[in-house]
Amino acid sequence: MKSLFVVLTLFASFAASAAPQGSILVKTVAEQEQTVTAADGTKSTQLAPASRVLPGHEVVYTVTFENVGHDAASNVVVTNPVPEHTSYQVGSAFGPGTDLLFSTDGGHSFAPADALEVHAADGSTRAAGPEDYTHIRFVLKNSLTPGAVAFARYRTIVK
Amino acid sequence: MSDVDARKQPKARNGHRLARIGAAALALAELGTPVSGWAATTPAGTVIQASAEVSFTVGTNTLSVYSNAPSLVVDQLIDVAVGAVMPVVPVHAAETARSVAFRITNTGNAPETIRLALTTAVAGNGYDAIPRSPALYLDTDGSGTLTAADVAYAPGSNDPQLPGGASLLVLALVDVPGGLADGAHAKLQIAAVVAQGSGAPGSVSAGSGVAGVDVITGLSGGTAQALSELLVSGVDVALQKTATVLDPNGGNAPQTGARIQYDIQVRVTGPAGVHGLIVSDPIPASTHYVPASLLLDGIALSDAADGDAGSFSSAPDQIQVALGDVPAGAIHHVRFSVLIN
Repeated sequence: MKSLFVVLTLFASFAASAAPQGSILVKTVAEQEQTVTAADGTKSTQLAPASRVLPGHEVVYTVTFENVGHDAASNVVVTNPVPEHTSYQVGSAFGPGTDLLFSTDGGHSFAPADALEVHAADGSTRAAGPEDYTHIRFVLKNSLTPGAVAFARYRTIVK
Repeated sequence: MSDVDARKQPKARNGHRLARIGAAALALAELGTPVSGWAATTPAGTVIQASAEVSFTVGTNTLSVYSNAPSLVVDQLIDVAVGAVMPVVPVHAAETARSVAFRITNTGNAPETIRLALTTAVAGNGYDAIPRSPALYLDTDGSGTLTAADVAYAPGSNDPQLPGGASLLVLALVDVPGGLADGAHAKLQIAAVVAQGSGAPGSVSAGSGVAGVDVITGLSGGTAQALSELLVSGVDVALQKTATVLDPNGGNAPQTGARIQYDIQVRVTGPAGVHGLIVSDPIPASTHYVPASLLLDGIALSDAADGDAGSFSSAPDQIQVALGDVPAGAIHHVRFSVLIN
């Protein structure tokens, strides 16, 4: 995380001069859970950077967004396509101070999970399940003030 | 379907003395095509990318920015599964060239060569089936029984190559020894081993996979086995279905309005009788059942599911006759008629 912090700082100073009107820096990190055994035998779960995966593996995506401009940013909406070859892990999306919406139609329309339906070819509809989700959207409830950092997290399973 | 394929004729299982028989269509759903999609596992070497878009408003301007897109590479998973198409196969003593089907599935995510082996001497066997030579066939037409299209398996020379998620039927061909009593049983075992590697689950072979990815051994360890039990049974139920066509002009042309009368001969052979025998037959497509045409041994049965042995039911349309306990040597005739639409 130290290197990430340096990058953020550099970009922030650059952006502050180049984009006085307002700018958000956004970064996505892919990680996997690892079980770590301490010297005293206790086990704990940690997140480690992911680069290689197998079908069935869970990947944790963390999106960090920082207002590096001079002005407050309102209507902040973070949209994440569920990566190809993965499916959304039910109940995993989490973003402090955000409303959570999903899309099942490639990002054309969004709705809360309990209001989503899937239209079948024969005209029938059914409640959407996590395997139907194509996009995950976090809608920030409040403005992002200059210098403020927020994050959102979701998990997917490799098919 | 106006007759019954001899190879598909069902046999009642002696242990249970129970047979439920569809005269024209037996449940061969387990069979199907030789290579079929099994599960959509992501192929080895696939790159998975994710990125986020952030849109926001500053003053009166709406702006949009994108994150980086971290890449993940899918490693190669080695896994295999084997299953018996029928866990228990009824056979006769001294039966020759009996084929027993197994399904081999590459449950990994890359094409693999799979080696096969048949074992007839399995611990706990009451007798050992005698393998033919060759003893294994690749069921290339997916019929579940040995046909001229199937290819003899020669280990090391034509090991099946299966894409990730694909499966294949394999037939073991054996003889059953003579002089066996009813209830004698023997298990056959098919073992499948992934040629690229088998070992402890979780073993990693760095960089040796498709497109240079790592190869990981899955939970199967790259090898799997399955058993099918050959149960000697004296009970045999033979069904023979014949059709007679009468057209409206007094001829025998199978045209619209022609009446087809079916006759299903049910014959129970062998030393033991059958308990709870039910014969059912779907009404063929493009025809409809002639009401009150169902007969058992020449005696009319009502179409309703009531006190007598027969009934007609719709969606799907079929007739059903409960013959109950049928002693060995007995012959019954079930007749019904349909009209061609």
